[in-house]
Amino acid sequence: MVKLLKEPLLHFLVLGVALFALFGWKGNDEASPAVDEIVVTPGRIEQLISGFLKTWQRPPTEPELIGLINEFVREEIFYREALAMGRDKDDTIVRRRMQQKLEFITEDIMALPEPTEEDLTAYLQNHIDAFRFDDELSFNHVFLNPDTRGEALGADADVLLAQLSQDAGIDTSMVGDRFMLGYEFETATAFEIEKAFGKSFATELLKQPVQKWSGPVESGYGMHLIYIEQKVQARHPTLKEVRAEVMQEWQAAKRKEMNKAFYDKLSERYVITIERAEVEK
Amino acid sequence: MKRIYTFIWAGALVMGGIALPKAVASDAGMPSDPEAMFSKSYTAKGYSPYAQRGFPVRPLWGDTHLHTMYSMDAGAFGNRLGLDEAYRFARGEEVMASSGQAAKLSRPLDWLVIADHSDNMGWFPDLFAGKSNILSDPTGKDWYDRIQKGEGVSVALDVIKNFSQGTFPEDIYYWPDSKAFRTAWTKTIDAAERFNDPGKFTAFIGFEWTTQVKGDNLHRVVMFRDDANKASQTIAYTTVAPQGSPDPRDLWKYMQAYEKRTHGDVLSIAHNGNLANGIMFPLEAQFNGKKLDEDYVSLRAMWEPLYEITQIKGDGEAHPYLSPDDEFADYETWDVGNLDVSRAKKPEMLAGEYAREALKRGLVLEAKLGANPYKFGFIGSTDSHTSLATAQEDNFFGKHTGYEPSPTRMNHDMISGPGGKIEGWQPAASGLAAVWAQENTRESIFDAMERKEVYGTTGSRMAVRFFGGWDFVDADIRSREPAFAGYARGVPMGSDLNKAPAGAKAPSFMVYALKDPIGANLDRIQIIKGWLDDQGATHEKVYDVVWAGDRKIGQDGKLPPVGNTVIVEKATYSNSIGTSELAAVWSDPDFDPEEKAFYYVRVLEIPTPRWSTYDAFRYGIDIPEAAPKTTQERGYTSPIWYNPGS
Repeated sequence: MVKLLKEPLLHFLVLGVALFALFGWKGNDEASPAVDEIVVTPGRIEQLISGFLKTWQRPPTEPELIGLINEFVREEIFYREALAMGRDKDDTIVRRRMQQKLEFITEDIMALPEPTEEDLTAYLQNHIDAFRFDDELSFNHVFLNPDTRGEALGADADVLLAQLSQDAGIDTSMVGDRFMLGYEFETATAFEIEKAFGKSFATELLKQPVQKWSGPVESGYGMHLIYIEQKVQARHPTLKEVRAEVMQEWQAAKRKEMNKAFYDKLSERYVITIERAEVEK
Repeated sequence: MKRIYTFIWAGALVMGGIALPKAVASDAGMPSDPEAMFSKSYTAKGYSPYAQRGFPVRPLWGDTHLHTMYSMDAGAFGNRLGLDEAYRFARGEEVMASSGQAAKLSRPLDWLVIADHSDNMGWFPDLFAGKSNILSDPTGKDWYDRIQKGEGVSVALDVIKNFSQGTFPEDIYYWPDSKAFRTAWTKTIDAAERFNDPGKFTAFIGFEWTTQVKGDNLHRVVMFRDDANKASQTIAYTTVAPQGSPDPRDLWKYMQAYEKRTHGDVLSIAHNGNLANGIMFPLEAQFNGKKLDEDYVSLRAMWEPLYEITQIKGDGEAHPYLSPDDEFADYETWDVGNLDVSRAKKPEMLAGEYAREALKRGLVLEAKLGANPYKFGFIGSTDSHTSLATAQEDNFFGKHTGYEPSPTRMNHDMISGPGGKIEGWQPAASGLAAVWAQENTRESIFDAMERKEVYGTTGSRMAVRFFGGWDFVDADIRSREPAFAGYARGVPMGSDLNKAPAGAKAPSFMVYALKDPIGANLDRIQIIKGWLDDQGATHEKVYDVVWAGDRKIGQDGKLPPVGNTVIVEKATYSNSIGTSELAAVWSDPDFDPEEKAFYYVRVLEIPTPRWSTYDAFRYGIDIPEAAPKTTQERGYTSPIWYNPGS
């Protein structure tokens, strides 16, 4: 008997019965505390392990896995309780998040179709300017710094231009002022030139003759004498040359179109009443 | 010192290489001395001036820190622009901002890191991941076929309807406990792959790890050199235990595990020390009270080669309390409290928050623990939450969607809490990152970042070069390609100078800067030195090295201001003051070979209208009383460190 009293199992059973009696009795007239079930499925565990694996590049140890599971259960309990309390309602963050989640899913579903060759050809033809190959220039320039040359700038430019035009043997890397961003530009697109020198310079540069010293052309930095070695005229590409880009743009356009159609259709399911207070005049 | 260099500057006018002291020919309308038209100092490495240079020629501009609607807070603030729009905007296309107004950059960026917050990056199911499952189910097959026929919209509606009615087919029901469940990380990687266009525009894979301790900011941006093959073997590290952690040391462990397994390459960039209430750059103990040790300092040095010195939430270079002698230290300062202003700032916290002080603390820690945890280069970035990387004063789309341009955006407080408030005018239109990379590719840019050959600006695109050596002379800077001498006989920004060669008395630095081609002229170049004395105390000094105009250093040792051409009422300025280019060779007059030291460059532009002044003009509203009317954009280079005895 004494031995039996020390048996943990008995303690457990007695305690269990007592608790059962307590709650059973209380439950008769008051709402019993709902016992909800949380099942941590093998799939969920696999997902927890996979997340850990990707973070730490190794599988979790047993204690780590138990930690992951416990944390998941804890989060689930709080999540459910918060939902039960309606904490998801009227919360901008939650609402926008839910909207995003739906958009994720539907975009994923809708973005699947593959364009046909005709789709891509038509798209390219209809947006041909967006895919245009820019002018491409290979050029040298001689820089004249206005801050240091001051009033002499214009005259210096004239003298230098005359010398450069006469004497093809001049080492142009030794003429003019120091320029920090380099002197020779090889197959630079108009776009790249604009990035380095500004728009008005790029525009003027394109008007300069080929294989002949010209200028001066003004930039945000100062004056430049120009020698265009080679110029490749802007042109429209073939589909073969820009297939990947056209594909990307086609998909983006399609996605936009489908998102709009999806929303329009979805909103058809709703009767929308806007109760706007009359504004007093 | 300064007078000499002004003079040298004058000598450099005519062109590279004239023997000093040749006077400058600037008589009205007369050409310069014809003899002087040709440079006499040929500085190319070899005979051929056209031979391939082994160094970068032009800086590449980008932003390491942009959020899209996938960041939970950005989405909550109403950002409706995703990854694709963010990339399109960065590469120069016009997009419609979330607030419904058209937005376009003055010039495209060369590269971008989209760094959405890792926590809550969102889970979403990949409904059609397992094709075979789908096709064996009649409903699934019907959907699949219809999608192929372009009827995706009606399928999406069907899917939703089935869910809401509980009739979704069990066999293709991928819900959270399945492997087909992916994170937004997948989308992030996918977009970077699609927009990465080597040679033209580089898209990096990255995320932001947003840890904070009771509102004290310890955030880091993590960026990858790698492509999807490697980056998809990991997921963005979070701050939530047990998988994630709020401790930076755990982040570094995560990075280490990634590199070890994938042989990839990844780095971390901390930001907003100014909102850390003292815990960003500790001297004694980490945020959790544990003492700094050898492990901490060497790991931080290894994983964090850069610091984001300036961004929309304030400038983090220097603070007037720490640098009372620096009249430019109080720039776009946010020193009210921590990130959520839950706790007010106290002066004693500042030393653990600002970059210049961190560089100084780094010297102390290196002497004590053997490695310098704060040996970082500088970049600027926006931390914009609008998907729009805007840092230019006249084209500023704000911190988040609620602060996109509007007549009322300056009226409501940005952040308020028990510690105080940040008002609507206080965000800074800042910053950008410039990288001296040879090619516009992930590899080239990332490698330049690791060697710290980068600098940050507050939004302007000035080009800045900085070299340290022992024998730079004026002829080097006057030559046509100072970078030849810079790389051949010295080290670029972000590097180390070790023990002086025999005969050298002090290091010499070659620095030059060129204005933003569509921006304001330059006011001055300064070199900021910090050092550790033999008593273990740190010091700092700001040297004006070269400047525009004929100003003279005053009795107080200060160079007078450059002037101000801003017409506030019209929000305009003119480049009638300042200069387009500044250059000098400077030698440290106070050099002590026994003392550890660092040197970095600060370039200042002439005053221009602040974004709030553009807003006032464009909307016809008043400038908030406390807002500065003008701003002096600046660039901060990565330091060059001097290490005695090595």
